[in-house]
Amino acid sequence: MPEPTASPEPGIDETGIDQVVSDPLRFKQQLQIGEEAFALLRAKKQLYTVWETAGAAATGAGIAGSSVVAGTFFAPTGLAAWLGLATAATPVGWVVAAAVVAGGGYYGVSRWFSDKTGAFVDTIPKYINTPIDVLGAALIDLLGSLALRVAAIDGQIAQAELDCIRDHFVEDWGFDPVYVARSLDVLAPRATDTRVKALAADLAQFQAANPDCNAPAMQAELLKFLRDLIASDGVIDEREELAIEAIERMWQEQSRLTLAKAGEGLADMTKAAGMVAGEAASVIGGTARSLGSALSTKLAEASRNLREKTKS
Amino acid sequence: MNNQLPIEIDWTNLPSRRELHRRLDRLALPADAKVLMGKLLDTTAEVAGRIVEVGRRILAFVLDLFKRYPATTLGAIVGLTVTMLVSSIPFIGVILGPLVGPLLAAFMITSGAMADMRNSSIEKQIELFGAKLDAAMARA
Repeated sequence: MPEPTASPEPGIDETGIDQVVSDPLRFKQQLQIGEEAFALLRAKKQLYTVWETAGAAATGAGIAGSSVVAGTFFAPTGLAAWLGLATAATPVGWVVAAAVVAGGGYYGVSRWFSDKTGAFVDTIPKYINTPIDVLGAALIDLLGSLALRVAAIDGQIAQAELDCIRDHFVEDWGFDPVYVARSLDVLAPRATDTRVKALAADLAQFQAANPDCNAPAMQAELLKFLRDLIASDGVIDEREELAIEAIERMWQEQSRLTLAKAGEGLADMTKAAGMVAGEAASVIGGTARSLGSALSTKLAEASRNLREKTKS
Repeated sequence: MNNQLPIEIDWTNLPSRRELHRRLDRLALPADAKVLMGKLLDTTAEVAGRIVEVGRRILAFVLDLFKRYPATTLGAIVGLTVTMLVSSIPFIGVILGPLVGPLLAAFMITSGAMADMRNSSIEKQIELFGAKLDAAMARA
């Protein structure tokens, strides 16, 4: 494995600016990445999820394999039916299916709860993987361009809108006020050069690729900010609303694509849980086979004894 | 950059912990490794009733050395520094011991990588730093 590399911290003081981010805590909070920033914690979380999902799946297998379920599904009619358990027509398939459904259900519930945690608590990582000023400069370019483009869509950028953007970057994000002022001075004249959708797509792509950005959470916050922005000059233009709707649709589409990828991961996880359940089912089947085998041996022995007694 | 001259170690004008945390934030390193470096920064030793900020001194030295030798990976510098200090200053092993293994693992430093740096000018700088740190702790 390659050794992680770091380059000496960049000097950005040639232009009189010595930092991009002045409040690292607020900046890291806005990234909404939480403990996912750490490879070790990510791995631990995934391991726990698989373990818990597999545990729920095994419980499902246990319930499905119980005599009550077996009785309901397979209507035993006596010893022959119990012996049937040891033949090719065993209900092991049903047991596995029930286990997978139980495991999948558990994953959904645990995921729902873990998704909702962010609504109550913000987790801020102590450090992030990307050099903070590099990430800050990239984000201010992308977020600033998009915000200015939306503000300019009604034909002009009002001073109130500029103030709203500056306040958002300085107060909410913790960017350095001098850096924000200079960036906006550079970005504002070129605000109408690029299409809204292209800017939104670039931002979404960047967020998805960066290990320190929680794209869906950041996008939800950004949409709130954009709505505040278009209302900040006291007039909500229809074109501004349409632009925000277009951005939202594009991000939802991106999110669906990401979810499809996550779905593949979920399928793998369910497969892993299914394998654990399969092992559990195999144990159940094995026990049933042993029981069947023991019973048939006893039965054969009993009938042999009976025959011998009848002969005598 | 001068690879021959030893680094000037000015204990009285060390960067503050806040400044060192800020420098860590600016490095392109995995967050896991940065956390361990942060723990190293917070490491202190109590010598004869006085607190010596060992971690702050080590991190300031390591980042300074990294500036002078940009072609060398930070992980290799950190790995060599902590292992050399642990082996040369008896008292420091107790303080840094629990951090050495995780640090080497976080930077994925192999003993081979450190062997490559042996007898280099970097090693001489670290030896000098170790001697000064030892003396500073003895004076505390």
